[in-house]
Amino acid sequence: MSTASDAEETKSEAIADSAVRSKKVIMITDLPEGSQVRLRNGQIAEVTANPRDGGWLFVKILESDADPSRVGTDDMAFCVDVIDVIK
Amino acid sequence: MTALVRSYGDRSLRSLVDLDRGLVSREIYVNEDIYKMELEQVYTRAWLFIGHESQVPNPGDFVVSRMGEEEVILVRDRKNELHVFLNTCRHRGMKVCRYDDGNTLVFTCPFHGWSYDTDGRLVGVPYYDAAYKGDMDKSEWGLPEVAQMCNYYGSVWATWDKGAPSFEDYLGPYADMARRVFQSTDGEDNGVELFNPVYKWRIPCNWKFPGFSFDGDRAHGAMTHRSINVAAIGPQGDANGGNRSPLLAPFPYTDYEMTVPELGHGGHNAIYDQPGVAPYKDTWFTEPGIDDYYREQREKKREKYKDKYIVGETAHIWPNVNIQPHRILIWHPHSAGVTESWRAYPIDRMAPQFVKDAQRRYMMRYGGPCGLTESDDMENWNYASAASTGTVAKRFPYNFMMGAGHAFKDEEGAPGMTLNYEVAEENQRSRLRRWLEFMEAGSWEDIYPVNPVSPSAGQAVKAERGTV
Repeated sequence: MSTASDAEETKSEAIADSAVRSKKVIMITDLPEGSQVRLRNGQIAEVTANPRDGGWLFVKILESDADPSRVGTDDMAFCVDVIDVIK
Repeated sequence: MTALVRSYGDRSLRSLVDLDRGLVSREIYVNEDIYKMELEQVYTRAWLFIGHESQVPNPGDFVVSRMGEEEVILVRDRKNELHVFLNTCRHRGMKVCRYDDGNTLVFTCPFHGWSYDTDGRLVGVPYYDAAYKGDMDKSEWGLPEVAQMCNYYGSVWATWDKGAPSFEDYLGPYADMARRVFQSTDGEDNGVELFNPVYKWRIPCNWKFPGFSFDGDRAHGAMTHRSINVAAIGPQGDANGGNRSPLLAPFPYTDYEMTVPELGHGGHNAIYDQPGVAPYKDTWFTEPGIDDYYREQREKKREKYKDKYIVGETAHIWPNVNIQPHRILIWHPHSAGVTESWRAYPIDRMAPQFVKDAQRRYMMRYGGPCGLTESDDMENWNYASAASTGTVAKRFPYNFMMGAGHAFKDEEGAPGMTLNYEVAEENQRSRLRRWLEFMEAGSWEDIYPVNPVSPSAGQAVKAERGTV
């Protein structure tokens, strides 16, 4: 019998997986500096450094419609939040 | 510790270490409760050797080291500052670094992805905005960093205890000797680098077997290492009877067991009867060209030190490391009955490659897991350990009587040091004495500044040099 926590876990996994499953597999380990990526929150970001750990990218935010103040700021992008490679 | 107290009734730690009579219970070398107590009382307080700055020359370079049983990361951050961090994620404890050495932008935990900058700051938390919603302050969840770190002429040391004295005060009279160990052979500070990688291997004995006897047990050499000299592993081959150490030019000196019992440091050291450094004596008969390099270096050092009286050139730094000009020996506690031995070999940073290669080959023949000298030592430590765990065996204490009561001072020749005949057990008693102080102390306030050594503790002080 399913429980509330089972449902929560399933939902959580679905959120985490959706970004990956909705697109082709993105090997972020291979992305060189200067690449541009689209993030799950709609932002466009440029890769400024790649630690090549398969988990994270150092990025600079190029476009951020929801919060324009973020444009030009440095951030880190987690693998499941990278949903497309633009350039 | 409560288990120990229950097991031994009124037998306190002090009753197990009777330095007045030179009797030490085998229990302190085999007992699991005492071992666990050491990890807290000794290894979270003492200054410990971490590594050398030459292992991490560039921003982002890191090397994994140990403090007690626990792994730490020595890393140079992007601003060129050195740090020592515990190798564990603050989220669920996973190792954030699973390589021995390398270069990185961040340490990313492979479990859930928490990511730490090379300065230890937590910079990446998956789902941070969506899931934590600002409830967690990342600045409070960086990698655990040591309380104090010291870059001592290129060597890196650290302690988990913010109440510990500075590293230089911790060294006391051994500060100058430790400085010279990290000089190149021409006497220049910060003149060495370490061969990479560091040797690491485990041996089935308590860490105190090697840690408390090395450079404090000259009596073992004639018996234990007889075979090495027959094998003539030294750079001079079978000259000088095959002795494994480089040849020495005549220079008036007297060898002693030398120690600072108040601090636990010590070694076999010489007091020279004249200032300066001995001239170089050709040694490398089996490796052409090496003597030319070392001879030139020695002349530069002789000029630099021509007016200075030198005292010794090796030091056991309490609790678990011995530093020498061409080798650093570390004995990490791994369990009550297992020690993880590490060997690092310093070499002149500016030496030609063929000199570095020759020195490395000599060190490999000499020490480390395959080196002949330490193979001899390991056999003793390992079998002595195994033969000390039995119920009946533990009824019989070890004998540390050699030279007890015959120590003396020579404030002119070796300020701050306590001396004994060159074959004694003065160093071993000093290390055990400091061990007992650490094990009984509530904090650094109880053990520093140090208490003068009581003559009744097997450290009789005689006024005149040469009374032994």
